[in-house]
Amino acid sequence: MNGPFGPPPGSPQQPFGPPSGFNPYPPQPAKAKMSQGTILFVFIGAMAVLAVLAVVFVLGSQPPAPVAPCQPAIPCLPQATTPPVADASLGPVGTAVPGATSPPQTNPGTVFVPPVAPPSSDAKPALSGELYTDAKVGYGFEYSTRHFDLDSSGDGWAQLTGKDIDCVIWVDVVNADTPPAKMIDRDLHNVDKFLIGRVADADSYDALLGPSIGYVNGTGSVWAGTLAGSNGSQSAPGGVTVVAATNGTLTAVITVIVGNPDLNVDSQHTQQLYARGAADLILKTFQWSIP
Amino acid sequence: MVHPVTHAGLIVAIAALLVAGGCSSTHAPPGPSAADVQPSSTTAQVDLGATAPNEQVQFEVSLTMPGRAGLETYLAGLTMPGSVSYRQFLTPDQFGARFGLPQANVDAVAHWLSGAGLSADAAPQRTSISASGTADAVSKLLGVNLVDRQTEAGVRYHVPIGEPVVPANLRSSIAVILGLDSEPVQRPMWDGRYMSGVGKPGITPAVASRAYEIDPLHDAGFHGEGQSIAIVSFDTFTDDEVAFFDQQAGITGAPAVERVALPGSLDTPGSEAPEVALDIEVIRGIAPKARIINYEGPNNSSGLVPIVKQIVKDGKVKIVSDSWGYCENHSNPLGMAAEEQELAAAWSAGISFFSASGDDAAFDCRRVQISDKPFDRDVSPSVDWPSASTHVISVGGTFLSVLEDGTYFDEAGWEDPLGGSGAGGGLSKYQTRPPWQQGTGVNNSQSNGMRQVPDVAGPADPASGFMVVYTTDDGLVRDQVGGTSAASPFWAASMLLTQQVAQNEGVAALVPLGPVLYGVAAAHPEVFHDIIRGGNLLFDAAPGWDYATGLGSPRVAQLARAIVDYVKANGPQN
Repeated sequence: MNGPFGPPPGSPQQPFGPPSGFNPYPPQPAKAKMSQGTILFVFIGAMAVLAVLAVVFVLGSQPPAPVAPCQPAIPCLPQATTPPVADASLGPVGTAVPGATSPPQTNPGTVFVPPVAPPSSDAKPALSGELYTDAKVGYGFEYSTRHFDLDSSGDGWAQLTGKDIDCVIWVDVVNADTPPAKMIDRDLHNVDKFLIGRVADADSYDALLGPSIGYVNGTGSVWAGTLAGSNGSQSAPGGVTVVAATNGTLTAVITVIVGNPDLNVDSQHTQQLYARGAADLILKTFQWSIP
Repeated sequence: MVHPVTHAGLIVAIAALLVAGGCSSTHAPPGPSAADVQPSSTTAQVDLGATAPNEQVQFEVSLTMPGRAGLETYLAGLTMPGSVSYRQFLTPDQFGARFGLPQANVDAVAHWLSGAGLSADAAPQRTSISASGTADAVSKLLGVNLVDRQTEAGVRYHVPIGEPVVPANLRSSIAVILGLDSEPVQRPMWDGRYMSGVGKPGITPAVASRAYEIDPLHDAGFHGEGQSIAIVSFDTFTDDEVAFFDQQAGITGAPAVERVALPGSLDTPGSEAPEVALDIEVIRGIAPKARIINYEGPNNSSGLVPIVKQIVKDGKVKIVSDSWGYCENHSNPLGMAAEEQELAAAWSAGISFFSASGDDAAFDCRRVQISDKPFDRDVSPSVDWPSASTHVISVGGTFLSVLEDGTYFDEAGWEDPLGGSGAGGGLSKYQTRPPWQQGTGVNNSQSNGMRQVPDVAGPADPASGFMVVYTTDDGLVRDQVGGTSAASPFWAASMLLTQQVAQNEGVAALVPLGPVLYGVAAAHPEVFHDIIRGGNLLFDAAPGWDYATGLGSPRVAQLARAIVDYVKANGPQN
C-alpha cells in the first residue's frame, strides 16, 4: 500500500533536484533605510520608557499578591481522593488578559550557562503507594491503599483484597530454585479449589501482552471459570491472571483473582482489566532485593 | 516459601468474598470514555434516521498538491545543513504558491462550494478548504444522504450514505473529502488516575522543574515570557480550572489561556475535557508566563486537518503540542495523507509539532473490536497516528521516580504488564524513516526502513502522573493524571523555554526540532536521561534510542544549552 505521503515503502528514492527556474531562497524583506531605522529606534526607546513607567505604576498600585493556600508539592486538600471543590472557593482569575505576556526578564544577549551537575539530595525516595517489605525473604513492593487492603502476610507471601474492586491478589516469592512455571502451577492448583471448570481465557481483550515483575520479563496466563460458593455450588464467573518471573535469585508469582471479570465498570474497562490495572503498581514497584 | 496450607485456609474466605461481591465497586471508577473507542464496523450503533435538513455540517476538502515531488526535496533539505533549502522557511502563501494548486483551481473548488450555498474557507497554504452548510445543501451538492447515528455511549453523529460526487472538472483538484462522518475518532492520550507515584499530589510544577532540571532556566529568568505555544484540542476548558490550578501551583501573573474555536467545536467541556486541562496545566507549570493558545476543533473524520491548517495560517506559534490520535493500523490512509499534508506545511513554517505516542503500549489498536465478539480486539503491534508522522516529534512515556524533595531518582519505560497500558512505540506501517532519525540504537534488529517511534519520552505513567485540575459533574477536582498526553506538553513546554533562550541569544529559529534532537543526542548524550529499564510490553528500554523511550527524557537546562549551541553551530540562524 502506498504511504500517505511519499513513495510506497520499499520504493527507490527519486533522484530529486530543484525544478528549473526554481529559486531555493524565498525573497527576503528589504532592509529599512538608515533614517527610518533611527526614527524607529527612538520611537521604540520612548515606548520602552513609557512601558517601564506604566509597569512600575501598576505594580505599585496593586494589593500584595495573595498567599497561595498550598505550596507546590504539598497536598492541602482535605482528602487525597480528589474531592470536588466548590467554585465559590476559587479566587478571582485576576488581571490576566488574553494574549498578554510578561516582558522578558532576561538580558538580551546574555548566554545562559546551566549548572553541569544535576541537583544533589539526601532525601528519601518518594513512595508510589504503601510500602510492603518482607525482610526474611528479601523483597518488597508498593500497593495502592486506594484500591487494596493488605489482608494477611507471612514469610514469602502476602494477600491483598480489593476495596473498590471485587478481587484478591496473591504475592508469593521463593528462592529461584523453583522456576516460574512451577510457581504458576502451584498457584493455579490453589485456584482450582474454588474456581470450577478453569479454562484458558481466549479473549484478546484479556491477553497478557508483556508479562513482567519488577522490570524482569516473565511469563503468565489468563484463566476463566466459575467461582464456587461456600456450599460448593457454582455461583458467579471468575477470572484469574497469573504472572511469574525470576531474577536468578528469587522467583516471584503474582495472581489476581477477580469476581465477575467481564462486568463493565466503564466504557473501556471490565472489572478484571480495571483490577489488573490497579494491581500493576505492585509489579512495577516490585523490588527484588531490599536493604 | 509458599504456604499452600495457608492459602488453602484462605480459599473459602476468598471464594465467599468474591461470590458475595463484598468488595464490589460502589461507583464506576474513572477512565477513558466513549470517545476513546476507535470506530469500527463492529461497534454497536443506533440509527436515528435522516439528519435534520437545517443542521450545520462541517467538512474538509483536501486539495491535491501538484508540487509534491518538489515538496519532498524541499522538506528533506529544510533541516539538512548544506542544503539549498536549509532553514528556508515558508509562509503559508509561499508554501501554497510553490507546492499547491494554481490559485485558479483553488478558486474553482471554492466557487463550487459557495455556489451551493456553503461557506468555503481556503487557507493560503492551499492544502485544503474548510466548508460548512446545512445538511440539506451538503447532501444536494455531494449527492449523499446524511443520516444520524448514536454510539453506545450516547454520542450522536452523522454519516454519509453514498460516496461524495465531485464535478469532473474538479476531480484533479480534490484529493479527498473528510468530515462527513462526524463520529469522534480522535482519542485522547490521558489515562487513569491512580494515587501517588511521585508523592502526593502527583508531579507539581515544582517537582517537574527540579526533577528535569528546569529550575536553572527559571532561575535565569526564563519562564516563557514573550513566547507562544499552541495546543491541539478536540474538547475545551474553563477559566476556573486554570485559575484553581494556578492557585494550587502558586502561579501568579500568568496570562489568560486563549481559545481559538473552530466551527463545530464544543462550547462547554465534554467528556474528554480533562485532556485539555492536562495539556494546558502541564505547559503552564513549566512555562507560566507563556501565551497558550488552545485551538479547538470538531472531533470527527476531518481529524487534524482544520486545526493544523489554522495554526499554520495564523502563524502565531513555532511549537505545538498534540495529545490526540488514533491507531495507525485501522486508520484511513487518505485521511492520514490529508493530515500529513497539513503537517508538512507546518514543518515548512518551522513549527515543531509534539505528538503523544499513545497509551496502549506497542499495541495501539488493542481497543479496536475486530469481530462481533465484544472482547475480540486487535492486539497486533501498531503505532499511533499522527505520532508516526515524519513531521512531528513523537513523545513516549516513562514511569518517573523522584526523591521526596523532587530530585530525579529513576525512570523506566512506562508499561503496565497486567492492565496492558504503556507508552506507544514501534514501527510505522506507512511512513518511511526520515534520514535524520539516526543514532545509537536506531538501527536495530527490528528496523525495516519505516518510521520508528517515539523520538523522546517524558513522564506519562499515571502512577507518576501530573497534578491536574479539571471539571467534573461535582465541580472542580484536583487529581493525578498521566498518559503520553502529559509527556507531549511536557516536552513542548520545555522546548518553548529553549526557544526563549535561543531568542535571547539572537537565534531566531530552532527549526523543526526533530532532526536537532537527534543531532544533539549524538554529540551530547549526557543531556538526556537514557532510560534502560521498563519498556512498552513488546520492546524493552535499552541504551541509546529504543522503541519505548526514544532518545530518553530531558535534562532540560542542559538540553536547552546544547540545542542552542547546535543551532548556532549549524547556522544561518534565521
